[in-house]
Amino acid sequence: MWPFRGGGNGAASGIADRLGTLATALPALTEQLDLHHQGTAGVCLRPGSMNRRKKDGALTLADVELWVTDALVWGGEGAGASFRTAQDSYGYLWVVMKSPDFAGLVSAAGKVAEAAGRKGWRDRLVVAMFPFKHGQQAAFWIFSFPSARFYPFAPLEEPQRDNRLELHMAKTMEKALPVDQVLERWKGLWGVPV
Amino acid sequence: MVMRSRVSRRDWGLTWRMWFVMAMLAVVYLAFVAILSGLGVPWIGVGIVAGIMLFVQFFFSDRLVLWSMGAKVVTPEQEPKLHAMVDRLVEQAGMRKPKVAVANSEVPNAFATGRGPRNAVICVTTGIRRRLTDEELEGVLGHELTHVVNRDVLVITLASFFATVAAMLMQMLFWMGLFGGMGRSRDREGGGGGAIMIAYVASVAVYFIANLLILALSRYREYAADRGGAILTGAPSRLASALEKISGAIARIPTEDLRKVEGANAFFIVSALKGDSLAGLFSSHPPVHKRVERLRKLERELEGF
Repeated sequence: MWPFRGGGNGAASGIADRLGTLATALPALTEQLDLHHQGTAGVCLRPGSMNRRKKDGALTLADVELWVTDALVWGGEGAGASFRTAQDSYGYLWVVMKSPDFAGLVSAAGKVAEAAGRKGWRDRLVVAMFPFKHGQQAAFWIFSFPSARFYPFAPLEEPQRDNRLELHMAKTMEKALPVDQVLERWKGLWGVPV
Repeated sequence: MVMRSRVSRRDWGLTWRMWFVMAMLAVVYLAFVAILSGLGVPWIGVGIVAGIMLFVQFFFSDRLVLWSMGAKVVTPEQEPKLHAMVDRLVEQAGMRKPKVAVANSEVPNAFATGRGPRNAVICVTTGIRRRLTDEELEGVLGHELTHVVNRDVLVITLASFFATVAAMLMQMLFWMGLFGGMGRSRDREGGGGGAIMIAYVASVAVYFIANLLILALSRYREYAADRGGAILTGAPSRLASALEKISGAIARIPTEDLRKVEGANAFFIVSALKGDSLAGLFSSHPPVHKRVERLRKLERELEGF
């Protein structure tokens, strides 16, 4: 479906496959959990590298903007989804996608991750976030790039979160999604531009 | 004092069981004293030592516990919100206001200490304050204040008196048995090793039985504090949801923002784990699901009227 422009490595496409399970799980998310996707998704990049030996400087919003335009829009990888970039209050950088088609959103997030890998930004990839609504409550499925697993996040006013809904989400989807069973890793992100 | 409802502050079934356990303790202790006296074991000396030990522990309980938890007493200026919450509850309960302390610990916990309402301290950890909403924290404070009103530190200290005597005798008799000591009983006919053996076995038995009973008593006191605290706030569900949040799976879910944590310890792959020390702290407590069940039942009773 997507033109694959060489240079991507196996691990990165493995990540896209694992991400893809979320698109397959959409009917279950709606029917069993009453979760309704919000037509957006965001990929979060940390400005500095986690690798101490890499001496490259901090990413700026301009870098990411340029890269998104170049790699995704010109490369035709963003077909079906519109992109914008943003920087949050922690200085983390976001590629935010918008599309009414959920499968298109998930695969666009995977493409962003792959393109970031090709650009040498693999260790800057933090999470991809997919916002849903459960009634009035916001609920996210967060995909952690380091663990290549999903975990739920239902933010209330920081630092509160609706843990019961989160545990229910994780339990219901544990067969359909690679859900992180190490609860200590379920770190939330409040106030994201997604 | 305002009673918000017609639901009794006391759960009579619970009260009955509590008295039953205390009566059993009394029987065990009396039998213990009778056996020791019959064998001519000089238990009174040991009793006095145990008494002094417990008294010191009891007398300094507030300072000892605060010190061991690294907690600091805070003034209303330092913690206006926390004090205001305690003020409201104290007025509701018609009790003397205890000192308020905060312990700098990520482990979500709260406790009450001190030998009576006059020198009580209630303490919350920074971890519990992060995790709970104001309503839930109020539920927890209600529970701790009820411990103060019920004088639970005193009750448990008294209940452990003979268990402490038994523990001390156990050790003493063990060494005596090894080295053939205990002058007085050796003068008796047929005394000596046999008497030491019997006294030793009795001490071990009393020690274990008494500890089981004390744990049961302590669990009943917890239920009583849950109930009293819930009626005090008028909303048992607050304490119930607080208990769920600070135990089990929910306590493992972090409350920090990922980006904040990365900034602080960016190079740790597994963040400093918080461990399961809560399980240890709750060993003298009933299982959380049972406490929550009771609180939900109480909630229905309160709504039913």
